[in-house]
Amino acid sequence: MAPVSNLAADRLDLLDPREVAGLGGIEVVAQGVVEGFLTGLHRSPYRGFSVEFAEHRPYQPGDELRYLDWKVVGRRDRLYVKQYEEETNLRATLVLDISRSMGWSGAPERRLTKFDYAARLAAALALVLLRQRDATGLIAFDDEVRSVVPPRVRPGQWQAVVRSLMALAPGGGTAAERALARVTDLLRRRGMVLFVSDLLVDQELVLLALRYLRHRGHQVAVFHLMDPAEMDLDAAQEARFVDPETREDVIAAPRDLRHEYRATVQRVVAAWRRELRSSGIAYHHVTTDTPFGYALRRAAEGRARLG
Amino acid sequence: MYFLQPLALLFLAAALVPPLLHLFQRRRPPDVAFPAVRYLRQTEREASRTIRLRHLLLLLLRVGAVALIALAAARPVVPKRVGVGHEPTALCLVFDNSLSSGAVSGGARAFDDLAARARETLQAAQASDALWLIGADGIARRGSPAELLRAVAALRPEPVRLDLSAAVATGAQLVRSSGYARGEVHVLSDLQRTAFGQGDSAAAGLPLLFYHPAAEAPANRAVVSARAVPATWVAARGATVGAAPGMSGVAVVIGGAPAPRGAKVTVAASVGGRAGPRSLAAPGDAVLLPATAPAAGWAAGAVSLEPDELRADDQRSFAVRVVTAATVAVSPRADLGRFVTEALGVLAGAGQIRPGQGSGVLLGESAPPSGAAVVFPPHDPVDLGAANRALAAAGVPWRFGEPVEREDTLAAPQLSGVSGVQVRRRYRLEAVPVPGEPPRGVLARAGGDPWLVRAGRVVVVGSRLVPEETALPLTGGFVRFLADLVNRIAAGEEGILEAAPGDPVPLPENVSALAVGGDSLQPVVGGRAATAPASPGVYPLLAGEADTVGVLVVAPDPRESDLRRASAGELATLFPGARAVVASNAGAYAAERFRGAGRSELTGLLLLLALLLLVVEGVVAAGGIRRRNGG
Repeated sequence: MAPVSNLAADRLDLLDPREVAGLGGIEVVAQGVVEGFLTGLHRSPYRGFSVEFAEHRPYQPGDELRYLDWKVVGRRDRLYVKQYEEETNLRATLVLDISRSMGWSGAPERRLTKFDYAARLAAALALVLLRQRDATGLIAFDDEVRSVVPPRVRPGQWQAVVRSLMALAPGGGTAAERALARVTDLLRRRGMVLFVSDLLVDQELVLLALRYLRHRGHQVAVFHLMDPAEMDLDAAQEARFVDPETREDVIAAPRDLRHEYRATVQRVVAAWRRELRSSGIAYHHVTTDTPFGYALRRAAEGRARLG
Repeated sequence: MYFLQPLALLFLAAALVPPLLHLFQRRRPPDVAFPAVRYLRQTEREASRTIRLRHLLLLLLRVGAVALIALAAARPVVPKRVGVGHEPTALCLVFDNSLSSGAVSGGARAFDDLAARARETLQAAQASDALWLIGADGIARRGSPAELLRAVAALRPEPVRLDLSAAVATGAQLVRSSGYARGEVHVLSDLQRTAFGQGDSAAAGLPLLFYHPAAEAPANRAVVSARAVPATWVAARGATVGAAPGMSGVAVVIGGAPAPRGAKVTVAASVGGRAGPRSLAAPGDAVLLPATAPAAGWAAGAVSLEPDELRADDQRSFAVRVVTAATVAVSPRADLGRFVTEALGVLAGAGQIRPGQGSGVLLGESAPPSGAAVVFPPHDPVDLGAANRALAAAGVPWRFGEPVEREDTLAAPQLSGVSGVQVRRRYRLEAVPVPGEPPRGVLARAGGDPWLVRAGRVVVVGSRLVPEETALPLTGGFVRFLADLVNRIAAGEEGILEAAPGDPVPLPENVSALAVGGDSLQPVVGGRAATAPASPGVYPLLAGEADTVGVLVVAPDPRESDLRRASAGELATLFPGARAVVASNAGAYAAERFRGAGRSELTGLLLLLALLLLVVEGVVAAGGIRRRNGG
């Protein structure tokens, strides 16, 4: 087994997102991350997003022993390995929140903004899906739906998604009611919806939209992005904290509130998780200092659990 | 409770710093972009009450810590609660039953109030305590509580002055030397300002408990001085007598609190039992009451005021020597100088002397074989030997010695108008040595040497009374001195002594007894100090058994008539370092009693509390308590 340090050096999916982002544009970063992710996936007990069992074949020297089907070995006294078949009819849509709050980082010199992180994560997810021959598309929204790339599996689809991501920038507020209604309209055919947002929106509205999608047969997974500073309120002095979207403000001394604030955020996260999972929606809480590979792996785990 | 460093209480103002900083920090803070404001707002909404309470708690903790540190700097001292009894204590009770304690204020006599407090203290005392009682006589008496209770019961207001500074110093010394770990000095007094002397650190470190009656000191008026002017009167039938017309009588000084404008009191004098003139006077006034000379002899008199709250100083005794004018002759061969000759003329004109020969007083440069004489140095030094032989022949044990030419100052405590006068030239008066006896009869000294001496009825003067030899002829008291010289001193009399009750008084050498009342005689040793009688009055001084040679006038110390009270600040200044507490009611006094020795300084405790508050403040500020509770 290779040393952990070397392993990490070879795999962009396990590196600090900020460092990985410094290596190139979204396309380069996403490819590197996905390569690392898939390498790791082969060594993991999980198979991916859409990998299905297809048939057995006789064991040949060089096959990994872990793919041996020991039940068949027991019944027939011959060595067979399992072969898997990728789904080809899945329609996956990445729904990306690009509201103004997504353009914020608590430590710009050390961490990506939530939008930058989300864009790279979306690109990586799209690449993984497309490599599995899933039709993959993209919808970006803030107050309005700003960009739509219909799900396709054709060559060049990933580049189209990446181009669309590169053309995006954090926009206005998150008066997401109309946008979400538009998104649900766009997602008429049953498929997978990957919703990436900081969820600084009307919770009831989002839950209603996501439950509607789920009701229509979509597999829905939510990536709740947060900057670590939003988790810990690590500002040093008393300040007037201003919401860049709504311009709401509150004067507070972090020293006095930090503990209670953490508790509040934990309650909010727990509430999202509880509400979404009770509706059969996968929920992944991701902070912007989490390596992309971990986020992809959580998505894969959720996919596996949802079947 | 009191503070050893009360000025440090000013640091309490520093307790305002935390609230001021709190207000100062409430300026508009900087803006910070933060998308999760909704979470922050929700947090603040939910925790605002807690946060406000925490801020208030922090503020109180900081204010409390600063206040405690300031209080600690002031070094507070509090009594220890000692239950029913108290730990063995050395206690000196200074009971000021001086003259002023007889003053009535608020319907009660100060003495009775002080005595009640003394009894309470002694009743609260235990057998294990060491107790002393110092009264107005200044004597410290040690005894059991019962013995000292009896002593207190026997006390009365005395017409004496008690030096409270000295009494406190004595008490402090007794307490310190008692070997007891705990000690107190109590001063039960009306706390007259004049009862204290200079500041004294003898009581430094000791609990010093002052008690005074609650009532304000009354506005007292007193006769603080009464003297016959001049001290010797010459009898003259039906006439006012004195050294000079219009200047004789009784000089009186009225003392006490200032009276309202125009308010005066009646002053009356009596001489020899006969009522004399009256006058109106206000406190601070000096008046001269003209008087008629009684029959020749020593006469006692009194000056009195209308009664007020302190009766003991409303009357004051005085004495006067009334003589028949002496027959005075000047030796024909003597050259006494123009000033003596002129003064004798004045005295003769005023009826103070009678010029003539006979059994009177001879003024000259040589002593006569017998009779009264005043001998001056011869104007021609050649006659000095003859003068000394004449003195020897007259039995006078004094001789003219070497001439002395230098500036000296006269000192004559018992002669008025002589002390302080310069002497330029004189003969040293030398006593003829008598084995086993010191020289006697010195009435005045110049530069420490005898200058005016008396032996029997012969008076010897060291200088001629001319300006070249002494400035005495040029002084205003010269004529009076000469009158005294021939009328009283040459007659062998001593004059009038004054003393306060109980004070030591130096007696003339020829005095052998003091007539203390009726036929009672108190033997004394002439030339030594005796204790003045305790009661004011006029006491004859006797030479032998019946020959009155002078009188002793005993009158209260005028300082006792000033009832103004010393303030707590003045007491603190007078007794630096002492843990002085002033109580003005029985309850406060009882609360402080037997607790002085059991006091403890709170500085350490306060600093510990301040440290504890700061630790709690740190924990609260860091949210440590909630973090632990909240997990």
